[in-house]
Amino acid sequence: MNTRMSENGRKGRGVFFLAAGGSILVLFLLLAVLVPYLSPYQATAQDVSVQNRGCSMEHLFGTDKFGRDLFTRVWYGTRISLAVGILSTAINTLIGILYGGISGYAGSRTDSVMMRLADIIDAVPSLLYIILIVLVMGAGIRSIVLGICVSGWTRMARLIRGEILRLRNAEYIQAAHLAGAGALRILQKQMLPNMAGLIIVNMVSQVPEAIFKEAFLSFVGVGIAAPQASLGTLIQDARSQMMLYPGQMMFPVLALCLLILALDLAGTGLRQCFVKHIAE
Amino acid sequence: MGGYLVKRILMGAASLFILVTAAFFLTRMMPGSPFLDGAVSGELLDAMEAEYGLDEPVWRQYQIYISNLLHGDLGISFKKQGVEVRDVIGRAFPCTMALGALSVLVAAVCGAGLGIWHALSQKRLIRGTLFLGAALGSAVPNFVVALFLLSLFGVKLGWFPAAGLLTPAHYVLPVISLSLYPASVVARMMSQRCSEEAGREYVAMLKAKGLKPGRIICFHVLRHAGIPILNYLGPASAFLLTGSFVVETIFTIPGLGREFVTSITNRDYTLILGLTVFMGSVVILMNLVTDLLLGCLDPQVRKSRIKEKGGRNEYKDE
Repeated sequence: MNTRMSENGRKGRGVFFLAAGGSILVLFLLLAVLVPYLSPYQATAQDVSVQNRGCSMEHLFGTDKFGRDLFTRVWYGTRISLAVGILSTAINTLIGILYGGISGYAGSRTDSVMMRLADIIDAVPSLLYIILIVLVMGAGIRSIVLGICVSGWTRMARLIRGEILRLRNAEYIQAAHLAGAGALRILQKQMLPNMAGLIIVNMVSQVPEAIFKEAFLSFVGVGIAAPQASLGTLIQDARSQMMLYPGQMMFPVLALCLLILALDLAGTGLRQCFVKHIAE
Repeated sequence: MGGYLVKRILMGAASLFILVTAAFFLTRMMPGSPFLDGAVSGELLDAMEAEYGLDEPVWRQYQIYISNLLHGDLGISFKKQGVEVRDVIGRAFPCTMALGALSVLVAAVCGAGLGIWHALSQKRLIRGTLFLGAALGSAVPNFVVALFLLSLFGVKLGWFPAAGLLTPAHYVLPVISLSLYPASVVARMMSQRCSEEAGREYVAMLKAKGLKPGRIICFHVLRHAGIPILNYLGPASAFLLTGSFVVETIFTIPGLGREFVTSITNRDYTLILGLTVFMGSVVILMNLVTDLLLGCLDPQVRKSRIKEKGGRNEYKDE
């Protein structure tokens, strides 16, 4: 009785987290997508007559030292952060499913060689790779996503492989085998739907990591090139006059933290909803 | 154990080799010659490139670099005249290491403490606050924490010195900003493990024997719940090294991270390469040490590591 109560409580809490995180996320997505219609200003348009203004009805978040509207810039920045996060997670997941699928399905020698290879790639902090790649390819979303994907897929691959090993001997997989289904078909039709929960939970937890990496790189100065601005760049730009105009830093910081927090909450919520399945 | 040791060391060496190779060729592929921005013309440029060995074919340069590396020579900085990369690292590493070690310690102790508190507490308010704290701690990027601490406690209130690394007081702000994230990860892990362990039979048995809860936690539960935390040390070291990039830049600490960021701004390729190789090796070494330590402590880990799972970062998905 007791355990069932806590099970329900956990699920209820999970739904709450998911709803809270999800609604912030939807709001951010809407703002990031609709910002050209919501704001009369261009993200890169400078206006020297309104430098360093505070919040007002014309400029909701104020303006920066070049008179650019911060409201517009923050949501354009969120757009870049979301693009980097979603794109790199999608690519990582795809590579991870393929790699982990092959590795788990092949088994024995192939499996251990492939997994050792993943371990070897994973051993180096990925930010080092990313910085080098951005320096070679030039700053931009493309090089950051590529950098993140160089080593980011290993966790998903490991997860998929583990799940395949677990599911491989399940009765319905055996049945599909006996019915003459090929490896790819079994992976696609039988195994993937069963792993979907786990994959989604893990994807949601990878997005904030990628967003964080992008902000970090932009802050260090190797992220997004100048006229465009990500949240990290905005924070870095505001740093020089942080004590004079804290508002210029506060809004991008709030947006970044809320975004990561929302994704984190959604991830935790999903995990708690699916946790029974995972524990088994 | 012997076989495991050899296997693990070989894998570490392979990681290191891949890192060095990738880093070397990537830095050679970076656009522009390092000397072009100075007012240097044809003949002088050739002479300078010959001086630094850049006139050789890339393959030959790679061979030379590897053989120098094996002798512990990381080359000379392109931008700072006559400064050896080795000396830069020798000067900067102690700062970074001191910060990193302190941060790991703070993160482990505070994280574990708060995690246990969260798991044991029956009060909703405390549980909620701690959960929110851990969520915030892992959602706020370290450069934001560092900037916030610097402007509030360093500049506005003036409680702690804002720059440098001279007295113990100088350590407070950087260590807090570095350890916040790992501490919240540890706290989450600890609380999850503790509530899992609390349902086990041996805990019920110990309770029935009349042991106090504190004793059960310290002497029995921690032995099981502590292992994933040890496991997290490897990734944490990677996080601390890269975190030092921004924290050291913000607090003007003459450590590895700050050197790295300046070398990126200066496009000082040999320094970037040397620092990448060095930091990569430190992380690989830390991973190796953690794995070996775990292997000593927990025979199950040893077995499963050889046979099946790669292991790291899996605490979330268990």
